[in-house]
Amino acid sequence: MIETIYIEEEIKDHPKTREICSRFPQTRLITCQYYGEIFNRKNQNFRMQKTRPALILAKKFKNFVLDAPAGYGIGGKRNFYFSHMLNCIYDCRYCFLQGMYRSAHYVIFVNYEDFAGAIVNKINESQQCNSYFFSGYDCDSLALEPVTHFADYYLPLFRQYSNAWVELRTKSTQIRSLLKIDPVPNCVIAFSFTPEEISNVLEHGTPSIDKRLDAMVKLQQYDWKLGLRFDPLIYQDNYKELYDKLFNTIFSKISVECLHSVSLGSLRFPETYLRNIVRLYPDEKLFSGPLEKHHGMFTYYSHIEQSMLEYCKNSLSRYIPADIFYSCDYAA
Amino acid sequence: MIHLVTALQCEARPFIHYYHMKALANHGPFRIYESDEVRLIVCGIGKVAAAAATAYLHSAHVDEQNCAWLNIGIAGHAGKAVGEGSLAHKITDAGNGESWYPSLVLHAPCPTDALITVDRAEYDFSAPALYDMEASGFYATAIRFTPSEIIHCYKVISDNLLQPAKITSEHIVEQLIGNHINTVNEIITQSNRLSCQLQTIESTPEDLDRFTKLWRFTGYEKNRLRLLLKRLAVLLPDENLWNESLERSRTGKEVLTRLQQRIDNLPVRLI
Repeated sequence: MIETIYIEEEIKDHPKTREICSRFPQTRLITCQYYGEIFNRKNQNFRMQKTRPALILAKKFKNFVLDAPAGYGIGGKRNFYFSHMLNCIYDCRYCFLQGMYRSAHYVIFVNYEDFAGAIVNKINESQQCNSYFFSGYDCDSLALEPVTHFADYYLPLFRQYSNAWVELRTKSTQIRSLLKIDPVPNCVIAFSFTPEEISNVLEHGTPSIDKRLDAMVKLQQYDWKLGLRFDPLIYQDNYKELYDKLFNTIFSKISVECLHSVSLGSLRFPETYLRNIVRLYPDEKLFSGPLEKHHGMFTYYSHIEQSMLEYCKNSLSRYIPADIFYSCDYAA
Repeated sequence: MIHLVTALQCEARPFIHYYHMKALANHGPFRIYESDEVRLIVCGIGKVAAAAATAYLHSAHVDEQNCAWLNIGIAGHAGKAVGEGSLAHKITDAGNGESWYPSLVLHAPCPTDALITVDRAEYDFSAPALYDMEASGFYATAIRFTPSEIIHCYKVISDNLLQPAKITSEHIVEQLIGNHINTVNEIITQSNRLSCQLQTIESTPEDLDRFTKLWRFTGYEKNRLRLLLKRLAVLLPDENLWNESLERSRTGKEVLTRLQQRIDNLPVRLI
């Protein structure tokens, strides 16, 4: 439940601002000059704010579309990400956002039209080579769809460009808007998973594995291209058993023919982010585990990381062809 | 512990009485009152006085981390009725235009409003906001040492366009503020709860002192020791760390190695 909405003065009359505010008639509206006055201020406590986050409606001025980090991709050479939203309604303890941002409030950039212009420019820069756009990097792409209508706006845009792909990455079941339209052939709806037992302790507020799978099954029936993301892989002593069980559950319901891509990646945090997160959650077992600095990132001990990646890759190969498998390699 | 800041003695009086606070004998430049859970400072009028008193009270209790802060006082407003109370959700310094946004993690037990801090008493109330003379100085100072989630300003309307400030007496101010004791008490209770949560999260491992008394650690090693002890407290919450092998350690470095080994040998289970 959103109790407070901060609105930048400049976009208080923007149609998207009005549309979003109309969903929350009882909410406290507070105007500000620039969203950073709230979002970037020092001495905020992310953990506390997460218990009662506010919405911040803002205008983005530059850097609408950014290069995706090295190693991030699903087969393309031109990889970009764009973030209409900062932060996520879920509270996954392994999420790097809690170490990156000072505030847990959700920022929504309402000037979708400027993002769209920047996306089209990127696509037009290279007609020969496919461009891949990732939308779920700084937020969950679909979790707040009833409020943002993000997919409603951007999918018709991508439908016009056969040399561009868009990935919506999510743990949510907010697929109603997708089921109302014809599937977009160059769109991948990618669902993230960790084994149920791990999800129960680390992914607070997310739909259960079964509910996510139900959403995937519905999309599959409507011929949407799907993705599976096991990123980050979470270690514990019996991880083999847990991931085997998860893969078995997923592939008993999801047809390989509908899968565009399957990717996995290891748990990884830039040092400063991890320091911030541990300060917020010193009581979390995940951060007391076997982590070490590696290629400038904190990750599991090398031997653990390698054997997990190898094991999960081999396990997945029993279900999927090699050409749809991708490993997100942070050291790339 | 929560720190209350009021500009006037008459604004402080209802709280001194309600919380059974005692005046400190050697209070220095400000009058300070204290009970077990509440401390109050009377700062005088204006944002500079509020900033000075806030800094003074903090530095006098600098060892107490994450104390909550609440500025309470009277304010003016164009149309709101005299006697209404509000929690500030935005504080603007009229002098330089800077704004702060107290993070509303607590459940506000009252309406919230924008608050503008002015240098001289305001009679026009041109913006739809509360007007006071202390909040920006108080907030800008308190935010330097406390998270915004536990710093708040609560104001009671003492004057408006129909009832200007000139006719407000000390006795009326005391009565106006006193009528809001229950609301303020609710804010204090919630703020104290959040403050306790923060203290628990940021607490130092119990055994740290014992280790540093027995062995010598460099600054870097001490920091590593703190992290290792915190990890062990999470992984082995009910276990005594002390055993013969640890106590046989000759140097701080050896202690760190043994603690690290202890962690590495534990099974990794999140569930």
